[in-house]
Amino acid sequence: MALDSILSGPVALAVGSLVGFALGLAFATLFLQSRATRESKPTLPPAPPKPTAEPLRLIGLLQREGRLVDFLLEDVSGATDAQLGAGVREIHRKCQKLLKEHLVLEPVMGQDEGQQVTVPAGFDPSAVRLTGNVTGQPPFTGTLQHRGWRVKEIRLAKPPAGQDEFVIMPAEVELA
Amino acid sequence: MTTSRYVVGIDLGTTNSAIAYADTGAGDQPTINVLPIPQLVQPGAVEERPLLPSFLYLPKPGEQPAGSLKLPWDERRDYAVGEFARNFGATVPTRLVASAKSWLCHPGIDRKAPVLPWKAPDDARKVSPLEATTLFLKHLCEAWNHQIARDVLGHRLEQQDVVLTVPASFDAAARDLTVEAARAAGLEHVTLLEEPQAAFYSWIESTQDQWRKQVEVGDVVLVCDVGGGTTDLTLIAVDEQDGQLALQRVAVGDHILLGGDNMDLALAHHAARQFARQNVKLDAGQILQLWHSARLAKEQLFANPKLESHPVTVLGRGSKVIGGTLKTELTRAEMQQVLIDGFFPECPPEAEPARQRSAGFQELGLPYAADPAVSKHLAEFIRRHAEVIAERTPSRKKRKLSQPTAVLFNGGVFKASPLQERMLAILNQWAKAAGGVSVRVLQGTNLDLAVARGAAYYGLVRRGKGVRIRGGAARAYYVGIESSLPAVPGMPPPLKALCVVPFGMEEGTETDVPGQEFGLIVGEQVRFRFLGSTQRRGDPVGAIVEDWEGQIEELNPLEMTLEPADPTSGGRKPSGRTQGSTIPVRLHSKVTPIGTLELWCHSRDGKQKWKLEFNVREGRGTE
Repeated sequence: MALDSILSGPVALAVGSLVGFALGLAFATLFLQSRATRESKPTLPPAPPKPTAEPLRLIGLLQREGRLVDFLLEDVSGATDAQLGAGVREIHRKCQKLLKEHLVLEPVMGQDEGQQVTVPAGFDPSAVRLTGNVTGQPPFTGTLQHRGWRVKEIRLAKPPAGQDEFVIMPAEVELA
Repeated sequence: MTTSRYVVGIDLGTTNSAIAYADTGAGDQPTINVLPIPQLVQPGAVEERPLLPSFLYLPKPGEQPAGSLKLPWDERRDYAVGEFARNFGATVPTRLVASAKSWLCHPGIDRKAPVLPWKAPDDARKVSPLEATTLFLKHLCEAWNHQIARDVLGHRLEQQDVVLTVPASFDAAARDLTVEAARAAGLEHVTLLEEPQAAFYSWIESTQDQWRKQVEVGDVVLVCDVGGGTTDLTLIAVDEQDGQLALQRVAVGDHILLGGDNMDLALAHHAARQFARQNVKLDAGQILQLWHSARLAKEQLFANPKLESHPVTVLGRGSKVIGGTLKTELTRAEMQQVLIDGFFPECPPEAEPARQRSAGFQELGLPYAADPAVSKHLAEFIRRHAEVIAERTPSRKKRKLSQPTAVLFNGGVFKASPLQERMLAILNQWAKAAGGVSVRVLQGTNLDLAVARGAAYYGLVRRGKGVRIRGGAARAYYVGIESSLPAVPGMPPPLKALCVVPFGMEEGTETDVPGQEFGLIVGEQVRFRFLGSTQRRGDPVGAIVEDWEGQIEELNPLEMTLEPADPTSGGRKPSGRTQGSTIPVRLHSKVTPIGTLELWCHSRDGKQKWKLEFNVREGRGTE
């Protein structure tokens, strides 16, 4: 028969090896593909963390209740001293109250400014800054120029879930 | 019946409420403490305050960020009570309920209908004065339960003995509504106490039992309570019983809507006029800022006698805060003129306060006092009760004195000593003119919290610790009977007043009203015209007063509908109660131990009783 004749001899060998190769290729492709699906789609690097607005909470408070940001961003070069003074007194009063309510601050060094103080050995350079004739080893004696500020307690509530934290002051629309 | 561990006093004020308590489980001499009240102070921020501003903010969904109104005990709260409600609500008047207490005793409106915020559009969230009062009490309840009763069910406020204060000038219907609000908030064991009496109890407590050294027999103490929204005047007489000094509340004044808020507003308007002179017009938001700024200037000037003036500043509304700043000064002289001379002018003891001018058309609103002079209202009060004061003069004195001999100031307004001094100077003028000596001052403390503390102290007094002020009904009450004269077209038939509750009728007593029988028609609404008097004190129960103009005022009517058929007999044998038949009844009045009034109709044989209800739903028209 014709098939018998095709499948015999060197042709048969060629066809056979071709088929074998094709099968092998098919098999290999299947094998590779299944490995690929197991390892899933190409992985993207992890998304960068969404910026938190937590550092904005205090300034948001000072703006909403003390108008501090409005004041700082306003062009006051044209204002008279009297006008500036009147506004600043109000803003100062409100912001001072807010600061005292939400941050418990204490001076780093308790003495009065202008007094002689001693800086002990092993002092924390982020808490005490030395200026002037700085030589030798601690303990140092010098004049207290600034008492410093340290925050003892932060009393800032977490805003409600529905609050857009990046809005530190909502726009105000008055309805007639 | 077990007594509760705590006795609690609640001051439900027009502008601020407070709650004080004594722990009877903490030793023999329980001290009075004030409970700090957590409340929303900014969206998302809940903080404790000693006072709870009596303001209710009712936003619609979407007006505030989600979760911004939540409280530690309720994540899903969608309204706010307290400081944030007051501050923010002032900028959105269609969402703010203020002065709910003044609306609760307003005879001209339906007090159970959702009418507040007053004049808010129809699609706004609305509540009735009764509901608003309930919500304030509910907040206080929740604040208490959250702090004191978290672990122990028996410490919940609903289980404690609560003394709730009301103005002495609240009539029977307003007291009834207050108790109804308390019950709706879950408070079952409530007793009412008049606010000036509470202030007096607070003074007694502050003297630590040394009060007897400061008063004597024959003293008549004027309690002058000027709060944020109201002026409440009371006289307490000191007499002797069983060798001991005893106290009795002998007179109360009318409900006068005049208080610290009016004073702050007057200052703000004064400052606004100064701006107007510079051709600067202020919008609504700026007037509000001006109000706060003027109040601050006032407080500073009162606190520092050396200060000659204080700036009143309004910051610009947009981002140009400095460019838009408006400034004026409030001088001491101006404050003297507006506040001290405007609200506490010197006047003779015969002074009359200006009356409400009845225009043809009067817009219905809160009936603020027409005359802002507190001293004139005081003069009228003392004059009305001159006889009562005079009869207390000790017999050793030659001349009967018809002026009070001592004064106790209460209320936020009197935190400013210049106002106390002026009031005292006026009282001394009147006392000297009447031939008496200087009026003694009983030193009150903690003027914002005195009423709550005094109410808690009264809770202890009710358990037998301490002296009790005798009082009884603060008014005489009457039922109106139309006389049997022939009808004249167009003229209402003259009304006679039948006394059903005599002045001073003690709490916990009841009495039949003799002499009159009434016919109740079954199936029809029964209505009695109801009147009250703070002046007439000699009428016994059953007395008929024919000429009562000016001394007795009409209140909301009493009502009842007697249903036909007897429910217990299954409706088969109506026993005389068929539709349209008339049942003869007598009136029976009762002053309950908690301080409310009940009027009943008793059948002739005394076996059947029906209670008359105060009609708080119908307005009585402009009056």
